[in-house]
Amino acid sequence: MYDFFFVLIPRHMPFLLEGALVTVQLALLSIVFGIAIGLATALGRLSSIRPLRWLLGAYVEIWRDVPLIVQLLVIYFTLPEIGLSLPAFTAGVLGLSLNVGAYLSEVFRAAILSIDPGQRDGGLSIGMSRFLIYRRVILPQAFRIAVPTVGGYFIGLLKDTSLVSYISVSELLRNGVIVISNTFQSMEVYLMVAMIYFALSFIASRLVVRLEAFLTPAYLRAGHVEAAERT
Amino acid sequence: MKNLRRGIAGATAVFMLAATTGYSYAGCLDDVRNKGVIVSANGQMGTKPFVWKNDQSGEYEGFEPELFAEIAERIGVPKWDYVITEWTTMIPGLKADRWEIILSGMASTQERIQNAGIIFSRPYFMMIDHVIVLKDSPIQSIDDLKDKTISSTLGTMDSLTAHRLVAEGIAAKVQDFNTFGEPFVALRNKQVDAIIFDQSTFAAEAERSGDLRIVGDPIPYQPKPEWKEAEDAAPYVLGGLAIGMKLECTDLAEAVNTALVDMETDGTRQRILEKYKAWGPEQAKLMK
Repeated sequence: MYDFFFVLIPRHMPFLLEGALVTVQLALLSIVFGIAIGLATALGRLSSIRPLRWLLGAYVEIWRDVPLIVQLLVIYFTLPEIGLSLPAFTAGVLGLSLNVGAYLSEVFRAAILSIDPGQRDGGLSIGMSRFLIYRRVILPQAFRIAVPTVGGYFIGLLKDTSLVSYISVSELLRNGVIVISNTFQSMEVYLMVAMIYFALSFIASRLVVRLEAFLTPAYLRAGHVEAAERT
Repeated sequence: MKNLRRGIAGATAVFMLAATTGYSYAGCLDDVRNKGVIVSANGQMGTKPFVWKNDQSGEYEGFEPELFAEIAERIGVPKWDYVITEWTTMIPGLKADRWEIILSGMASTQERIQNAGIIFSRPYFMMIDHVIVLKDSPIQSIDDLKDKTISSTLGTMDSLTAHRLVAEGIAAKVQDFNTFGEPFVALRNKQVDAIIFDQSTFAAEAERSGDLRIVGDPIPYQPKPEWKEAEDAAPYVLGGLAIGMKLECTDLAEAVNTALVDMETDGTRQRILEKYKAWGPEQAKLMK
């Protein structure tokens, strides 16, 4: 125990935290792009243009049904054969974004559909454009509904970033494996890696609770936040 | 007949030991003999010429399983087997008695011995690194690597060599991949300019694909600067693969070492390595 906290942690933590920084960068960039892709896909699938719906439906199915590791390997190793050679980090962000985007599109689609269609009719009746109805009425409410689920996917994504090490990006878990291969102290190092992932995920989940509270209108807030923080 | 004679000699030795000490110590060797099967972790299944599974017969092939079978027989254990696992779990599994030994491409270094708290046998295979490029690559000598990206497998001795080449200014950048196959893919995709592998992995892949060649002389392993003193004092030549065992299993380690020395003197190791085209001049010297 003494060894772990006062010898091994000071020795290995700085190198692991370097990797953790890359993990955070990967996760933040991918969730931003993933939300954009997810929202665009959800709106596209709710549109009246049939080929677009079909195409986006195919994207969501394929990307949800194929393991992320395969997607990453294909983006990094197969795309160069058709002339698109992406640097490893970029390929990683692209793979993670498309993956999480496919899942989030379903979250957003469900959130949008959960808004009573009467609200849209109301908007139309007072002369709002469809775009304005989405922007002012439907999306703000849908976002609030989607936030806890998106937060859950973000925490999942934080840990999925470890797969990017297969295409040679040095993130948290890989830096752990490097230390392990030098010292063979597997369980000690995995424990440190787990501590860092936990800290990152815990911070993320608290921020999601804050964000949810922020997006909730004042008249709904009191009981709502209490419930969220209890969980 | 030879086996029988060895068996009788072994039994006599055990009997004499028991007679002189008055009891027989139930150590790791006795445990594994009583169990009748010795199990090794295997974290590199499918790496030719080390170990792979024959698709048709389902049998293990490669020089590691053959050496393993030979060692098991010589230490008096009738059966041997592998547990296929992740490379990083081999040591925790050893300590938790999931397997008795680790005979799986693990090179012994002082950093590993001192941190992991396990013991290693004497080496059974000596690795030496090569710089490998595609046949049509413009790289003709080590000097041409200056502004190039080289690649190797994460956590291997090859990776240490690759990082050393960059630290010494010989190459520009290292990209490590998680498994043995990916550096070759990256090389063929021209995502990296050269890769660093040991002589046997190179030989197996070069024979299969025919599109690879070696640049410059082989590169022996060198310790990290902070471990140089300890490595200089070690009895083995750095770069040797060895069998890992639990710290308290000195009796098992002794038996394994005796078997390895015997296999050295009677030419068994050389015969097995030659069968897999893994024998070379570097194999002659395993200990300092």
